[in-house]
Amino acid sequence: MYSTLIFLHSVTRWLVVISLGYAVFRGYKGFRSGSVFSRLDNNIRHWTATFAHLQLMLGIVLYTQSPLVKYYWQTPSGEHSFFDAVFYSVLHSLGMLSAVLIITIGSALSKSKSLDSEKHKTMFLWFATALVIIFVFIPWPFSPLSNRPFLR
Amino acid sequence: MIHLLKTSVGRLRVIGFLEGVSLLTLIFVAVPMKYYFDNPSGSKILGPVHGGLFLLFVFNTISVGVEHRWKFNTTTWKVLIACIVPFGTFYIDRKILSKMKADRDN
Repeated sequence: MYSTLIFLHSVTRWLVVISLGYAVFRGYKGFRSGSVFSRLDNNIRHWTATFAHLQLMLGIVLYTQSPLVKYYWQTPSGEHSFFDAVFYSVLHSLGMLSAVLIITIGSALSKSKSLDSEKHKTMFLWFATALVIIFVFIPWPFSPLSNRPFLR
Repeated sequence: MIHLLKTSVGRLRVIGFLEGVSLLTLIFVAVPMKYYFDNPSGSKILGPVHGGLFLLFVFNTISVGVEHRWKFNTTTWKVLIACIVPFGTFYIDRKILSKMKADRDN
């Protein structure tokens, strides 16, 4: 159960990063060129938010199962012997929670705009902010915070 | 059921229903089972499931609220509070969500 969840959380990470990256790219290009916000743009906006929500669901279930998180909450503050416990229990979870919030608001705001250039611009600004936060808090193999493989 | 999934309000209604059911099962079945019959297996499974549905409901409420420009003082806070009150999501579904007109796709 736990290892399956970890695997799914690791795979869905790629769905989130790729869709979000592509949405940021299309939003920027669409805004700069003044092109229409096509049906494809709208689908990318929608599915990017949906992948982020799916990842959040997997994350919250993982949070309740993780031995690292259990260890963190059972140990008095200041006595945590390894940084990974703090990273996953606090930094990763709060960082990603705020990133998904930004994606959610950005996606809904973009949808509610009537001008196509506004839709592109809103999607680009909010999604780009979320992408930066997500990039920082993913435990990439090269991250200074915590390291996990590209795929598990 | 399928037509509900095509709009964001419809999806929020489905999630609200599931969230409401998971909250009721948790507090009326799983928690009594754990504390009166010393059997935590129900809450071990339902706890995370309810946690997931709860967050999904909160995020979808924010999404629908932003999209439809709900006023926080009149609508959004009621829908948000509903998910921590037993039967709350069923109530706001009847009073608020079922009366909203259908929106565009996605």
